[in-house]
Amino acid sequence: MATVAQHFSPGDAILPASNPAAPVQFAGTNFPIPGLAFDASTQETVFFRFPALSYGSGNVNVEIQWYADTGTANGVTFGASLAAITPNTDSQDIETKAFATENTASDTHLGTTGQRLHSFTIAVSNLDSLAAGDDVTLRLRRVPADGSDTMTGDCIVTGVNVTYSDT
Amino acid sequence: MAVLSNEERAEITAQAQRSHECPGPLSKAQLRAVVDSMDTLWETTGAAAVNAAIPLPQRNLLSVREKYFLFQSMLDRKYKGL
Repeated sequence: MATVAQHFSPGDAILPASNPAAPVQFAGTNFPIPGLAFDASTQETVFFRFPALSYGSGNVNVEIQWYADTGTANGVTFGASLAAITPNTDSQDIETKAFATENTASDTHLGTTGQRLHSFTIAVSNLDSLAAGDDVTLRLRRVPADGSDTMTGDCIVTGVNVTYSDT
Repeated sequence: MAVLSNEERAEITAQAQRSHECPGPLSKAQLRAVVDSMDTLWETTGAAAVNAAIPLPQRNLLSVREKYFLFQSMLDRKYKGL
């Protein structure tokens, strides 16, 4: 039994026509920081596509690495949902494919340093009948209206790690 | 002039968070409460107090728009870029 991991950087994101998270890059003192800026009031979304290589069973874990643009306390909530298509088997139109029910999770700013890096994981249990080799689209969005999304300002996502079991 | 609508106050709160004037330690609800309280204060006492402070005959010669252009300019000079 092994864990399959797939990493996505901000540049891998596919942006929707309306209300995408904003691709940003901050100069940094010693190296640039690319990210996706999610607004605190308007729900913004990005998508990532990947093949479910060697997927076995169980939840898909979506780890989000983030930091606060201006906030120094309080929490953020993100939602992740999957749309899985089995090529040659599913007759679903790929252009009208719907997402499974969204799973959400929240994280809290740990303080001390405003722009410190945080991470938390959304356990995606609504798998849309995911099978090995499926063409998968992951929808990731901040949920500003959620009661636990209390942090002011943008949430900058610097990376997304998707992991699952191969058995 | 009436207090701002719920939507207008929400938009001000959202705009504040998109700027680098965004107060980091506050929650979104706390920031919104600040906007609510300042708007309410302005309508209940602030606007009348500013108007009453303008000497005559200028008070009666200036339009509301002209008065608040001057007032806003003064506030910008005092507080922007602190």
